[in-house]
Amino acid sequence: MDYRVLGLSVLFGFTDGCILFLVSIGLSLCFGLMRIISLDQCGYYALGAYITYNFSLLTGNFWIALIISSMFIAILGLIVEYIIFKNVYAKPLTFTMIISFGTLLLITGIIKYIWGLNPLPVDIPLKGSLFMFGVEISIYRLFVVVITFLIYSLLYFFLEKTIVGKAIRASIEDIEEVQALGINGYQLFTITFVISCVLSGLGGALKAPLIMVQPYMGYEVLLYMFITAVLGGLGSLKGTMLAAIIIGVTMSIGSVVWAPSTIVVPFVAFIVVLLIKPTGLFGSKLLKR
Amino acid sequence: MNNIIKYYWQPIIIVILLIVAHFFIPLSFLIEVMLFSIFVMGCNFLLGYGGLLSFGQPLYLGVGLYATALYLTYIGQNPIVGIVMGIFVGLLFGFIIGSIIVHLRSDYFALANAALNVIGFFMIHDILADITNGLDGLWFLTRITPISILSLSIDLSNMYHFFIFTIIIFFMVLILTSYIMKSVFGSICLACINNEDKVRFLGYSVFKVKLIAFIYATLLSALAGSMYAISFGFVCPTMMGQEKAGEIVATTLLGGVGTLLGPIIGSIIIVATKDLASNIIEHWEVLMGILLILVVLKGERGIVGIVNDLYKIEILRKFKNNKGD
Repeated sequence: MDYRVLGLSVLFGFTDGCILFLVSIGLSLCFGLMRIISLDQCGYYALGAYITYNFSLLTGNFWIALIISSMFIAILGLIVEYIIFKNVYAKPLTFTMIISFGTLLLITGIIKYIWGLNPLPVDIPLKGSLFMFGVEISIYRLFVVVITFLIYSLLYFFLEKTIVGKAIRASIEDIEEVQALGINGYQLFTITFVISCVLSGLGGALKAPLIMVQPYMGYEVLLYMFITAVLGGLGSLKGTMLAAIIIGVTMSIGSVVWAPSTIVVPFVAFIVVLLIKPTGLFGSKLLKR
Repeated sequence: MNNIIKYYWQPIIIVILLIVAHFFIPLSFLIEVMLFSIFVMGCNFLLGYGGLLSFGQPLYLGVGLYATALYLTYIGQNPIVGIVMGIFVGLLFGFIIGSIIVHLRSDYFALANAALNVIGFFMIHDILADITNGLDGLWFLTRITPISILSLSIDLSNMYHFFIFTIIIFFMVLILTSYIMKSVFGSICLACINNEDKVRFLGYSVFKVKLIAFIYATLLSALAGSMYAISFGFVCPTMMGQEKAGEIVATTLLGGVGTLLGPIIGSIIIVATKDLASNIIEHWEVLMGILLILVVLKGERGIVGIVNDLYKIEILRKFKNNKGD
């Protein structure tokens, strides 16, 4: 195989992996902290892309649209958490899964109602390209990678250094202890949920210029998101990042070698991982319940 | 005789109602309701008696669809053998897949099923396209020949004959399901959901119990698939698409998880909504989403569960009133 094709596919995989990370970290944190399987993160992903589309048409500036869509998703996340998820925190996993799946369907339906079925294009904000290692690389893709790593470091800093982050990390291991210390657990839940939603929405918004925006984009990413979160270990930041990049690059290289493998390989890998090591790469042993 | 009526009054009443109803309601609607009920019953049994939620039920429908379709297209012409084929392949498939994935935790299980469904769809759509014709599907309506049982000629491509045949199958499925639900095995299934450790302590293997529950659910789905295949006379991969999974779960929850009547009531509501309000089909997802959220938030036991609760409250009140006197 030509090394240029290989290099290009690695870069493409890296970008895809970065966006996958942004979506699946929400699921991972939500499960780690609140014990809910938040499948509706994909819904915010699709919605983020659509709102970015609208506001980039309206304002003519992609970056403003990015910020507005993040704010929009944050408010939506707050509402959804208040109306729906507050009521299911103590219930079995099955129920949270069903209700979040219902939310995902609802969001997909609303998107179809408002924007219709036709795929919509979003302009690429950074048009130029760089020559690196003899390959032509679009600056926007590099930018996606950079911004993801920036978010990763911010998130890392937030979870490791700030007091709220420490409380969240402590509650991932043992929520009762944290509440016994006098920290309001439900407030932590809300904060985590909103952060997850914003990150998912940001993932969608960043993905929007790379593809055509269509209503089922959230539904399509659902399984990849879950695979990434499981492979990385639910509740682990480092693991999710690594898993997202592994999956992104594998899919990208696989599609060069044999086109249909893009669809099947991640799912086969998912089932193999589940059977061999259900806690994932960096999953905490305490999480196995 | 008394015992039979006492234990199986529900299936008998349902079948009598169906026979009465076919004078007023179009046959195609009743057939659709019955087939969809059998399919939903699989999911219902899996969730209510196995404690396992699956977002990949359409895969097991597809197993039945394609087992029957491939038999009728390439090998034989007898639809009964086709259905037996579907059941048998479903059984085998359930055993193989079940023994691999049934020990997973509930969320992993649900999504593993979804992943398997995508793989299965892809297999039929692309890899086995030489045999399955890919997206064009298999057409075999003309190959379904009349069969004769006890000097009665039954032509399953005739709608009236197919209706009677479906009623017989439906009755058998109902009897079998209600027998399993009331048997010792059913009780152990319920015990497994509540406390796996205690069941293990009693000397039962939780894995085997869940596996059998899964196999039975798969078998029901595959049976529904076979019947669908014969009813339509053709199959195509979109019938087993993963996006249909939400509808199945919603129907199960709407009717009432772990009840015999739940899937039937759920199916009647869903199929009727589809038929009567065809202009809302476009916004099907919104309806399903709201339904799922409402059912989980307000009445997680579904329609049958709520009615049962009301009935029990009524009895309790009467009992208390009598005591007061």
